[in-house]
Amino acid sequence: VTIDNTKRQAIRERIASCIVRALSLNADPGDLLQEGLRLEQFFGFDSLAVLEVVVALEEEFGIEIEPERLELTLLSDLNRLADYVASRQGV
Amino acid sequence: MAIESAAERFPLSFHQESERDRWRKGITRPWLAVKDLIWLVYLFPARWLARLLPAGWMIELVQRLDPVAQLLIRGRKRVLLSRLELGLGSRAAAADIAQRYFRNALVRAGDDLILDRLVSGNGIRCLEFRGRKHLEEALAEGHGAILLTGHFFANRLAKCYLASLGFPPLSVRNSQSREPSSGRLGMRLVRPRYDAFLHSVIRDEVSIQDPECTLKILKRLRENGIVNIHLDVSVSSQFAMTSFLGNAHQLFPTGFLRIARRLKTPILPTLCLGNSRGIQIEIEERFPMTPADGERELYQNNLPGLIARLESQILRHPDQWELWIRI
Repeated sequence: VTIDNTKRQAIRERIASCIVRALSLNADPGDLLQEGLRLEQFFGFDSLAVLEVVVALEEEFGIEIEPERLELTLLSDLNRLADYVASRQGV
Repeated sequence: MAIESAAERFPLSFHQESERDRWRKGITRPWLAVKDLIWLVYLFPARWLARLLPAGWMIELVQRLDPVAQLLIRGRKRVLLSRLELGLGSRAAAADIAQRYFRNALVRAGDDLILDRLVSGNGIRCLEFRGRKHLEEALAEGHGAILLTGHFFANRLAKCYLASLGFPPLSVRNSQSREPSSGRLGMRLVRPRYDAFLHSVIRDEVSIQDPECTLKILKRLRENGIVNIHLDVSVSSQFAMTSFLGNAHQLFPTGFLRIARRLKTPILPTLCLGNSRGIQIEIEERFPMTPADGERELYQNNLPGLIARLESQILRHPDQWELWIRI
C-alpha cells in the first residue's frame, strides 16, 4: 500500500504516542520515531506488553488487527505498522 | 469458595520474572542422575519398542514394570511422601496415594509413547465428558475460551480427545523447565531430546520462551479458538506467590487474567482424569471474573478463587496431580 508521506508520518506519530501511553513508558513519543528502531525493545521483559499495544492500537484507530497479521515482524516495525493501519483504515 | 474466604486462604504477593530464581536456587546437580538414565531408556529403546508392539500390549508391559519402577524411585518416593503429608495433612493417606501416584506417572509415560497411534486410530476412550455445553456456550460468545487446568496426568489425552471433537486447544508450555532431579549432562543433552519428544506428542503448543507466545495466544483466541493454560506453574513474566498445599512459596501465573480481561475471553476451570484405558473430562462453568480497575486488584479479586478450585481438584484426586514432587 502506498500512502501519502504526510499521512504516514501522522499515523506514525499517533502510533508512537499510543505505545508510550499503553506501556506507561518514561519516554517521549518522538524517541520511537527514529528510523530503523525496533519497537519490541520497548516491550521489555513483560511478554504481555505486546497485548496492551495491540489492544491500544485497535482502540486508537478503530480497527482490529487480523489474526494472521499478529506477529512481531509487524508490531515491531513502525513503518510497516503505519502502512498496515493506513490500509485497514482505507487511507 | 467465596472470593473473600479464598483471598484470606491464599494471600498473594506479587513478583517479577527476574525474582523467580530466588525461590529456586540452591539446586546442586550431579553430572549424571538416575533420572537421566531413565530418560535415555525411555527416549530410545522404549520408544522403539512402542512403535512395534500393539498399543494395549505396550500399556500392559508398562504396568508390569511398576514394581521395578517403584524400586528405582525410592528416593523420589520419600520426597513425595513428605510433600503429600504436608499437602494433605495425613501420613496415613500419603503412602497409598504415593503408590498410586507413581503407577499413574508410569502409565502416563506409556500413554505418551502410544499417543500418536491412539490419535490417528481414534483410540482415545472418553468415559465421561461433563461440561461440553459450558465450552460451547463460551465459544458462542466469539472471544475464544481459556481452559484453565492443573498438571494432571490425563491432560494430553484429554486435549487430543477434545481436538478430535473439533475443539483443539493450544497448549502453553514451558519448554525450558528446570528439572531438579536431573544431572548437568542430562539437562544439556537428554532434556532437549525429551522436550522434542514432548513437542511431537503435544503438537499444538506454544512455548513461553517463544517471543511471539502472547501473540500466538491472542491469535488463537481471536480466531475463537481454545487455549489451555496451566495454573500451577509460574510461566508468566509476572506472578503471584502464596502458600499452597504445604509449600510456602508456590508461584502462580497472572498474565492469563490480563489476557482474559482484555479480550473478554471466558475462563473455564477444567479437570482431566484417567489414562489411555479411559479418561474423564470436566469443564466447569465460566469463572465469574470480578471486575477490577488495576492489575493488582484484578489478580487479588480473581486468582485466589481459581487457586481454591485447583486445590479442591487436587485434594479430590491427589494421585492424578503431576506436580507433587516439583512444588
